[in-house]
Amino acid sequence: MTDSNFTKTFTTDNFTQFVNNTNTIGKEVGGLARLTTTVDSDLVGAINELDSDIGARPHTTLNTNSKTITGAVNEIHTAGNASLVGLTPDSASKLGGFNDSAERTTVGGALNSLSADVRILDSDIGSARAKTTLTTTSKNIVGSINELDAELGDSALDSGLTGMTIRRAINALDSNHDSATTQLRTDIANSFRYQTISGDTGSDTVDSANGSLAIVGDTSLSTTVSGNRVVIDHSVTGATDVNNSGKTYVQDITMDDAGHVTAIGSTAISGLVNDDVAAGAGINAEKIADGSVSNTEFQALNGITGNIQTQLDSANSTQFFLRRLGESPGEQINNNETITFNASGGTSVSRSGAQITYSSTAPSNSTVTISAGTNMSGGGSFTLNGGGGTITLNSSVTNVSQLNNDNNYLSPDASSNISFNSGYGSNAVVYGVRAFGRFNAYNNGITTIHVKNLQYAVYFAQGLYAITFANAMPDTNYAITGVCQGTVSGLHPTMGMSFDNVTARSTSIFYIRTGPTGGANSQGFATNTPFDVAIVR
Amino acid sequence: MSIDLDKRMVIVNNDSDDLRFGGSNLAICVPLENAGVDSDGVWKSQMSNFFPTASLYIVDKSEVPTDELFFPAFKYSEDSGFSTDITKAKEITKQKLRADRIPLLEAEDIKFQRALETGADTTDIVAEKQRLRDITNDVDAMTTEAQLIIKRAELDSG
Repeated sequence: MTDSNFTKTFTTDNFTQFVNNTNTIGKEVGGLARLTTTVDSDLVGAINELDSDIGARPHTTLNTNSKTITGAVNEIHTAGNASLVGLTPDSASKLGGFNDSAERTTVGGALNSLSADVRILDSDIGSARAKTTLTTTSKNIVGSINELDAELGDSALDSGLTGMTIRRAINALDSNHDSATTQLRTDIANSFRYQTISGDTGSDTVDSANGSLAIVGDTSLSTTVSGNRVVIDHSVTGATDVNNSGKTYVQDITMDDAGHVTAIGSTAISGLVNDDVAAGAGINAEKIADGSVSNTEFQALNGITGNIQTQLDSANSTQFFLRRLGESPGEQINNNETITFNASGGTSVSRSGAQITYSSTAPSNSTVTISAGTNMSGGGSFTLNGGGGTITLNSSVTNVSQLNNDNNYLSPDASSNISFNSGYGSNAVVYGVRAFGRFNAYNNGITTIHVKNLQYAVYFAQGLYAITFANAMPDTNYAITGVCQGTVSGLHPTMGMSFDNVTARSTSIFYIRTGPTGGANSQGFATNTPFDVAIVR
Repeated sequence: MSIDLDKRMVIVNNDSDDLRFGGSNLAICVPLENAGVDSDGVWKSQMSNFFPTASLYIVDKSEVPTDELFFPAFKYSEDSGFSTDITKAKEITKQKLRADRIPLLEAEDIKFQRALETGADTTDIVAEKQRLRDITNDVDAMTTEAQLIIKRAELDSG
């Protein structure tokens, strides 16, 4: 039995009392081995350990109203701060998910309940975060709902749907769709309904809602109903195509009462008489008879005054005489002989005394060729006035004597070489200057005063030139002759020309040098100078 | 129709063995009055018969340099036109000066001989002869055609 007084031992106590008191004290203290503190060897150490765990004196540091540990813990618990036992219900007696009292007794229980409710909400909202899965512009739930609400528009529905939800309103519209469509078709039909039809001669009443329009054909028009189409076509009445390309013309056209062509008749063109051809129709002569007479030949008939054949026969029997004045009987030209004047241009023949002149007047470059025959010998003269053109004497080898006269003034031989005397003393072959030129060389170039049959000049250096022929020589056996202009006026020229001894001439080019001559200058610098050159062959 | 008489054909010699050019690098071909050729192509074709290894170019007459003495030193390319071979121009200048000094030296020789005969002072004569002998010494140091043109005329007035 516990004693409310602490155990005391007095000096007057006997040993038994002392033992009893000691045991009592030991019992009241208890065994140290039963201590659960870390320090378990003495009571003071164990108490200090507990004191350390508690901290500062509770009544000075606790913020609760109660300043004892037990009182403070109870205060937290019972005041609802450590549990939901004091949760206040709303007007509907709802306790925010903590309706079960077991969910309110402990903080842990309340938190578990809250966690379960949050998971349910998460499941309802969706497993992913709303802001990452929302397809609205706003990424929070309230914003998204407001956005959808704005798109739905005013919550008030129009009359007829007032009081309905949107879903019911849509259902109502769906159920009325067919009747509304029928009404719409009726309205449209009424809008396009016609009740009057007009023609050329008046109008009549017809209702397209229940009437019909009939199109009546006749022998000219046919009507055919095919499905929802009425085909109006012209009836073929028998007229056929006519082709008038075969020198025919349309003769008759038959028409019916409706103005349709029912027949076309054609016939060939025939029976033309003079009056059917217009004056000046210009019919080509090639279309008369076999077409061998040309327009030009036909026009040649203009001016004919008598029978042509008769006139030709008469002319063919005539003999002509060609003779000089005073000569008799002259040369007789029989009807089987011919005097021919060949000319490509305008030619005229005139006589003046004993002289006959043939001249070509146009075109200016025309050639007059006279084929003389065999009797152009005798006295007198034969003059060809070339007028600046070319006179060609076509002398065949067998008739070269035709170009001779008694004095052998002109005599081509069998090799076509022309010989003449002309003061030489005898007839001898003459040779010609085949090319010549007058040049001036300066400033690294050559200018010409006059050239013939020379095409290019090549300037190699001062006094060193080449000249080419326009028409090549037949061979290189031609002679080059040339002189240079003197360097000092009034004195003998000291400039000379040589043909180049380095490069051989050819039939188309020759090389020359010009430069000072005589004394120390004989082999000096070649020098530019005016020079003349001629080629004899 | 014929080729333009104001055109010239530059014949560039590509054959060092072709002695027709007389030491020139090129020649100038001049169409004459009666060339009778209707195109530059025909002109070139005809001249290529005479100069088969040469390069042929047709230029305006005004492009051809007019300096006759340096003509052998002229070069031509289609890209840069006419130019002058300075080395060759120097040699031409020397040849010109050497030719020009011949009569001058002869004249000084006569003066010298007469001075010896009369016992006159020959200092100036000797100096002039030496000047003529050395007249080509500075040619090699020249670098431009303009310098050479001035130099080559140094003895023109004696």
